[in-house]
Amino acid sequence: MPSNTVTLVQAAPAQTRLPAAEAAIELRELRKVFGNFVAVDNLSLTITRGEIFGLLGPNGSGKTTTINMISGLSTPTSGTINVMGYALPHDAQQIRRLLGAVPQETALYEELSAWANMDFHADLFGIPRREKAARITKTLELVQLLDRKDSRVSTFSGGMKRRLALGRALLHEPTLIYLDEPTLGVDVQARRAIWDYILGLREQGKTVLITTNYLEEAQVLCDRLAIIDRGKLIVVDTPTQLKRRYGGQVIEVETSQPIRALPELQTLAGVQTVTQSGTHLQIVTEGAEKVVPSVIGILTREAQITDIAVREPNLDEVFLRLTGTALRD
Amino acid sequence: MVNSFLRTVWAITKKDLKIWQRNRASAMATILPPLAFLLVQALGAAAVGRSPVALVVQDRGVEGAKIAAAIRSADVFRLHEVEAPQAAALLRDLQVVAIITVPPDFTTRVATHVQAPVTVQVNNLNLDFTNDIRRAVPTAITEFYQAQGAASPIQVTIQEHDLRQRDVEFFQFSVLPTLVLLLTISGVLTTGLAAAREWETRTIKELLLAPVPAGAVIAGKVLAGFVVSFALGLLVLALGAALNWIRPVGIYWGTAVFVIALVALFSAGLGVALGALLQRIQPVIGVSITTSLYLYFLAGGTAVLAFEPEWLQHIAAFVPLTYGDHALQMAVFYSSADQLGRDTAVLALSALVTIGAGIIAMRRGIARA
Repeated sequence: MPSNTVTLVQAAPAQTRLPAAEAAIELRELRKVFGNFVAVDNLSLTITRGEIFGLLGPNGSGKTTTINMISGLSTPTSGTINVMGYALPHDAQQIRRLLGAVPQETALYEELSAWANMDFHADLFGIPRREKAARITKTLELVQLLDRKDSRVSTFSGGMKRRLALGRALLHEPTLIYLDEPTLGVDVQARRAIWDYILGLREQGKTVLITTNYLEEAQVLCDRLAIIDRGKLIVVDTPTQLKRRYGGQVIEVETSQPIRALPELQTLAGVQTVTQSGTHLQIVTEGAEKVVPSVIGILTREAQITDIAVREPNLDEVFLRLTGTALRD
Repeated sequence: MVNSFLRTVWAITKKDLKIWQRNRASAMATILPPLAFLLVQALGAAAVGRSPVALVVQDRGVEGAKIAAAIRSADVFRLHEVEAPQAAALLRDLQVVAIITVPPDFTTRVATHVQAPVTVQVNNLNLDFTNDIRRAVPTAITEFYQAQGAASPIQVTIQEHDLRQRDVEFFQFSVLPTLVLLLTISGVLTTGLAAAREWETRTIKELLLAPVPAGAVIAGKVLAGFVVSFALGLLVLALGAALNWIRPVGIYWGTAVFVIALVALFSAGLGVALGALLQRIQPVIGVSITTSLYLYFLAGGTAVLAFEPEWLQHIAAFVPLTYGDHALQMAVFYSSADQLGRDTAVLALSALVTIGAGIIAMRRGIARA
C-alpha cells in the first residue's frame, strides 16, 4: 500500500490556476511549523467562488491548521493566502466580514437564548439596529428555530445547536462559509436537514468550505475535494473523478465455501487487492470487465458462486488507496 | 471607528452581564463569602462585645438602685435581671457568664461608709469573657461613684479626649473591609469567569472571527466585571446608610463612590488576567475567591490594621485594598479626606497594573486560541 500511495501522490493532477477574481480562496505554498512539527507542508490550493469544497483528512492531517490560517486565527510560517481578493494578514478584518464560520464545537452561549446569541453576533458584525430584528427572524426561520427563539440554548439538542450555529454564521450574509465537521455528533435526521441547508447555500451563490471525516457527506455535498495527509495535499478533484481515477471497480463475490486460490487471483492482470472474509470475497480492480471472466473461472474450480456484483468504489476505498490509512484510523 | 469600538464593548458587556445574571451559581459564589464574613464579624462582635450576665439586685434601697443603673448603663452586658435561684440556674446552664449580685444591705453599708461588696461569680470557661467581666464591673462601679458627683465619698472624674468625632462600633468598623471584600470577589470572579468561559466553551473563536479589535473585547470584559462589582458596592453602601451603620456626609459620598469605583476597576482587571491565564471555570472560582480572601486578610480586614502586628502592617502596605479600606473608613465614618490623595493614587495605579496584566494575559490567550 505505501508504494501505491507514493506513486499516486506523484500522479496527482496539478491545481487548475484560476484568475484571482474567480478564486474564493487561493493558497500558495502555505507552510505552518510548530517547533519541529510541520503541520502544513507547502500547500497550494485554489477554491472557486460558488463551489462547495471539502477538505478531507484524518485527525492531525492539517485541516484545522489550514482553516485557522485562512480565517486569520493563525499566522502561516511561510506562503500566501488570498481570500476573495484580500490578502492575509493585512486584510484580516475585511476577510472576517466576508467569512461565516461554524466551528466544530458550535461555540454557542448556552446560558443565553437563541435570539440573544444571534443578537450578540449581529452586534459583533455591525449589523445596523434597524435591520437586526428582521434579519434574526429571517435566519431563525431558515434554520427552523424561530419557535424556540426565546429558549435557552442549553435546552437544545445537538442538531438544533448545529442549526443555530449555522444560522449565526449566515446572519451577517457572508460570501464564504466555513463549516468544520458540520454534522459531527448529530443524528441521521438532523444530518439530512443540515445537508439540505448547505446545498441551499450553493444555490445562493455562496462559497462553502467544509472539513469532514464523513466520506458520505463529502460525496453528497462537495463539488470538489482535497485530500490532505500529514500536512501535504495528496489530491484535488471531484468525488466522481476521484473514484474513477483512484478507485477502479470492485467485484463482490459470495461463494459456497472459502477460496484457497487467493494468490492466483492476486496475480491476474488488473487486480489490485483481494480480501476474503469467510465466504465473501472483495476484489478491487482497475477495470472489472476484463477481470470478471478469469475470476469466475478460478472460483468455480473450488466452489459455487452464489452471488456476484460489480460496483463503483466508495470514497473510503479511494482514501485508503491514496493515503495507505483509513480516514478514521 | 470609535462608534464601532464602543458598540463592541457594550455588546460584550451586555452579553457577559446577561450570563452572570442567569448563572446563579456565579452570583452566589460572589455574594456568599462576604456575607459569611459579615455574619462571622457580627457574631464575633456580639459575643465579645456584650457578654450575657445575670444581675441580682437584692437591695431595695436608693444606692442599690443606683449601682444597678450604673451596671445597666455600662452598655457592656446583656443583662438578665433575675432572682438569685434563677441566676444560679442560668450560670449552671451556660446561659450567662457571670452573676453580679448587689447584696441586701448595700444601701445601708454605703450610707454608713462601710465596705459594700458587689459579688461577681464568673464562669471562667473562656479567658476573653472573664476579662470582659473583670474590666466591666469596676467600670460600672466607677460610673456609680462618678454619678454621685460631690456627694460621692470618692471623687472620680474621667476626661476622655476623642480623636474622632464619632464612635464607631467594632461591627460597623468591620463592615467596610467586608464591603471591599465583596467588591474584590465580585470583580475578580465576574470578569474571571467571563474570560475563562470563552475558552472553556470555545466561544473565544466567535470573538476572534468577528471583525472587532481585541482591545474592544478586553474592554467589554473589564466593563462587565466593573459594573457588577460597582453596583454591588453601591447597593451595600446604600444599605449601610439605610441601617445607619455608615454615614458619609456631603462630598464624602462622592469620595466613597469614587473609592468603590477604583476598587471595582482593580478587581475587574485582576479577574480578566486570572480568567485569561487559567482559561477554565473551576480553577478561576477557586483562585479568585482565595486571592480575594488573602488580599482581605493581608489588608488587615479582620480588625483595625493600626493595632495589628507589625509584620502584617508591613505586608498591608503593599496590598492595594489597604488603601481602599482606609479611604472608605475616612470617608464614611469620619467625613475626612485624610491621606485621600495617597489612597486614590495607589488604587488607581493598582487598577492600571491589573488591567494591563489582564490585557497581556488576554492577548496571549487569544494568540494561542
